[in-house]
Amino acid sequence: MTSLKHTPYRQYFPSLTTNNQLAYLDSAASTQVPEAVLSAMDKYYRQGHGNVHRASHSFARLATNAFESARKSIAQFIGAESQNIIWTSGSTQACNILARGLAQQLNQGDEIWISELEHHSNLVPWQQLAQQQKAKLRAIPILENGDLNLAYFRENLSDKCKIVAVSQVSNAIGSIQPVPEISRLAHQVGAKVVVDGAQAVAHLSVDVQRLGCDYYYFSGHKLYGPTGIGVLYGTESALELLEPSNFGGEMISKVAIEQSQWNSLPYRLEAGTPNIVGAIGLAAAIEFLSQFPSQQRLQHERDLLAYALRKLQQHPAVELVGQPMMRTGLIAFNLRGIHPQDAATLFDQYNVAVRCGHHCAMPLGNKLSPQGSIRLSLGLYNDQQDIDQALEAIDKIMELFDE
Amino acid sequence: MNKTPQIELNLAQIEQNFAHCQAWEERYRQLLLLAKQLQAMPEQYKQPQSLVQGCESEVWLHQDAQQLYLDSNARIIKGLIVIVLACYQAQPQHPQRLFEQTLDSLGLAHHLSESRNNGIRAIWQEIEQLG
Repeated sequence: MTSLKHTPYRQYFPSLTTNNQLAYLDSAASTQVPEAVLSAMDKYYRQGHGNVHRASHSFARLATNAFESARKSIAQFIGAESQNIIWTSGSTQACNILARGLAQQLNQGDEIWISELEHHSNLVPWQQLAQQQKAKLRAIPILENGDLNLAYFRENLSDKCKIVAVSQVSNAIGSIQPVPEISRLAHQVGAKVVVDGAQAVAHLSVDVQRLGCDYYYFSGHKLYGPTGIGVLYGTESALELLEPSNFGGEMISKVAIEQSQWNSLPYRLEAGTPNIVGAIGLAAAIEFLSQFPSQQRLQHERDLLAYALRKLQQHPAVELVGQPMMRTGLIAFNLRGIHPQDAATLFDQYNVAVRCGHHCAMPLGNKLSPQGSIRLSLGLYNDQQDIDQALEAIDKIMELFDE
Repeated sequence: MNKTPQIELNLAQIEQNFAHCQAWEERYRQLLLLAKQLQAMPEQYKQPQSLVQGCESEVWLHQDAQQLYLDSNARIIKGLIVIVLACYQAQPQHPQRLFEQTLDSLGLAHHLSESRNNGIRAIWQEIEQLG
């Protein structure tokens, strides 16, 4: 059991030990990067960089080995096999690969289901696909507390549905979605299940087999890794369904002027030179996390979130946005009578980094809190002092505004 | 400004209010107090088409025969709007330049983020378009 007051994890993050005045509570937007990741990326370039899967010289061989071994670590981390892992530039690109790659599976009148909670990156690509194929985009509504109305989904789901795309954890209110149940229902009508894991991978132990989904994707920069790298997982048959939408080198096996043949998976979906150093950085992040017992690591965050939630609930000026049954990683709220944008400006002045606005989930915002909200989100480097600093800032902001 | 101003105090009075501010909190306190000086914009003018695009919070701008109205649901922006209007009143020729100088002399320029600055710029652009 780690103490809430001090986290042993903080010391590994140079940006937070250098700037120790800042309470960084915006990990849902992007996590800070540990020394191990920085040095792995630095070492890669210093020891010799080469392109992967191409040349036979030593730099290229080392790069290929490191790149493919990174694929293996990422696969293990989510309970998958490495041939089921496609590198992407992030969650958004992963969702776009899916939406374009599944176009041929959809006919006029078919349905794509998402939820009202979705981040724009798991909404706009499906909206575009629906328009292009004359399919219908439907949304699982939310209940008053922010949880999904699963009964509505159960009653309205039919075999017209071909794709169900939901987030495992909402980036706006932190609710954990019942993905195994959604997968089961969707599979009963023969639909494919896509899970946006961007807000989940850092806070839950993810096992794609247990979730029962066909596709799962996330970004490296929310998992203590660098930006510009992400992962798309799919079961073998689900990946086989995807038509490539990026064409070029690496994704082909035979090219003639008139005609080309596609490479095997995963390369068929990875056109061009990949983000090699990004993959190495992300693997280093996973290796960094794996050195700690995962139960202990996740428990520290859960305890801290419970502390923050209790304190915020007790605060007379705080109005929580969404009160989901199960949540992880973050809390959304407003300060009574204060526009979140005003609050954001002042939090910044008090050295508290939180996010304000619609959190790129406007349909949800419009339902729960039209003017937006303040989002406090955790990483494993946070401790009680960060939360207390945010609470003190709230008191001071209220004082300024009440005059 | 040839129309009735939406504020009662002028730029000199604003500068006086900030004259003795030391810590940034006092400057913000003054800014929040300024916000209270802004006469409310009639609710019927707060239509989607009068929203200023590019602001993080809602800012409405509407002009009728008597008056140019500006309003926001965020208090810090409202305070800044008071300064915008005071500058417009003081120097209708180059109000934006005066506004930037004023933010500097009030000790506020340093505290405003780039996205907020973009929002204020958007307000100035709309005012200019009114002619």
